[in-house]
Amino acid sequence: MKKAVFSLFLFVFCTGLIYSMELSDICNPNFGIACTNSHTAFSIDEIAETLIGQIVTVNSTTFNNYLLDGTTIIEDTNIAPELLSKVYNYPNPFSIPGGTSIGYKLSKDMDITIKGYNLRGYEAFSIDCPAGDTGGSAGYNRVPFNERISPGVYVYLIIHEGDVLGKSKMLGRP
Amino acid sequence: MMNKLLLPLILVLFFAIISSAEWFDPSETATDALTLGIGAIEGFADSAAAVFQNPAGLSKTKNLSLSTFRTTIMDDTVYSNAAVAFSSQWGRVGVGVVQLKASGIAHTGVDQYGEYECISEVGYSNDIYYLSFAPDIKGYHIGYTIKYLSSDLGGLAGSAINADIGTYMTDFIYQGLDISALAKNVLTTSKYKYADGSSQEIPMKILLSMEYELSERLQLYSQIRFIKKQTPVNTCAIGVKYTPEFLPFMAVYSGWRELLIEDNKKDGITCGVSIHYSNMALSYAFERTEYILNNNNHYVSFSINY
Repeated sequence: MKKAVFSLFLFVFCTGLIYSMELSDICNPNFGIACTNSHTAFSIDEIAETLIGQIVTVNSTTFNNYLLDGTTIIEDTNIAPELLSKVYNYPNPFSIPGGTSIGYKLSKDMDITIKGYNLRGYEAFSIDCPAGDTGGSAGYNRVPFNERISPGVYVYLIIHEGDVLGKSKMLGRP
Repeated sequence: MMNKLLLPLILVLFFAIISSAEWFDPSETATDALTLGIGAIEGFADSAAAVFQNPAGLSKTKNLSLSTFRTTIMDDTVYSNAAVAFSSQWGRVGVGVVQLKASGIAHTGVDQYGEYECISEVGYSNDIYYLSFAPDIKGYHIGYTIKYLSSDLGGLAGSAINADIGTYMTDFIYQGLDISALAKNVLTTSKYKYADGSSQEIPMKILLSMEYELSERLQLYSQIRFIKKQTPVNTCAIGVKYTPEFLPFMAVYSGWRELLIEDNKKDGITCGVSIHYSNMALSYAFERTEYILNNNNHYVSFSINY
């Protein structure tokens, strides 16, 4: 009984520590080996020991700009800025007065610009999505699109700091 | 007589009102490489391509003329056109088609995770079919075109009928000064109608173009394009063509043009080269656009005049 209470206490304590930790304060780039903040230092192994017997499933995902891949927590700067899905807009084809929504999954928070080109190759619209906001957040983004464009096909690109991460086409109807 | 020819153009210019939601005109990109190379200044084609630019220019073609043009923009959007013009006992007749096609457009849905997915692929086409006539009137050049417009917006079909009227004047006021005037899409009440009941305006445009032969080997071009909208807009273009003395079968040219993209004015530089041999001409033009993955557009056209 005491062992069970002690284990539960440890679990709650460590869980609280993990969630109260300010990850951006972490100064050790090898975060997968040791976690620190300004007051406390503890290892992943120590945390893991407290979780023995608990079912912990961490799929490859992002959390506060850190990628959790099950075994290591990788510092933000080590995550490549990339798309983790194909780019589509829904609905497509769409009615221009009703608009559409551009969807894509980002590997991390980053500044994104969506540029659309008409069928002559000239820029018809541009949408800026700052990091952390809609369109620039880690995970799946849905960017509302209600630009006043002429009916037809537009090629649009997902751009981060001049690098094209993805490309798709939208077809607007009158 | 000249005033009578210009009066219809002036009238349609002042009475046409065009609003938003306009139809995308595939013939606006370019109709032959030489025209694009001098800044997309239309009206001076001396081949069957006059069908697309100014039907009055058909008077410059010989007994039989053929022209074809093709380009690919942004890797998978294909523009192409072809025209034939021939003489009849009443005047010159021209027939042509402009096609714009884009494929690989995703028809989308939402998957079980709430993310967007491609269910199937649809296509887009925007075609115009031309029938032109330029009567033989001594000393004057005038032409008419009837157009059938047809499009497919991912399974949504649309169509319309419209017309162009043009005139062409040689040695206008000065020796060597040629003027081309074209009223494009003059049936201002005609709308692009789709199968779902929706419709689009077809913007009327007036194109006034000038070619001045500074010397036998050097021609200057300019154009003003009036676009009648709720807020009227005009765009300009200038160009130059030079035929080197040591290469008389070749012409090099360049131009600058303004474009109207979604109510914003943009501009661009164009250039090109043509090679003439006997009754044939092969032309190439280059244009740099804003598409960052591939901003180099190449245009090739070929024409024969018998």
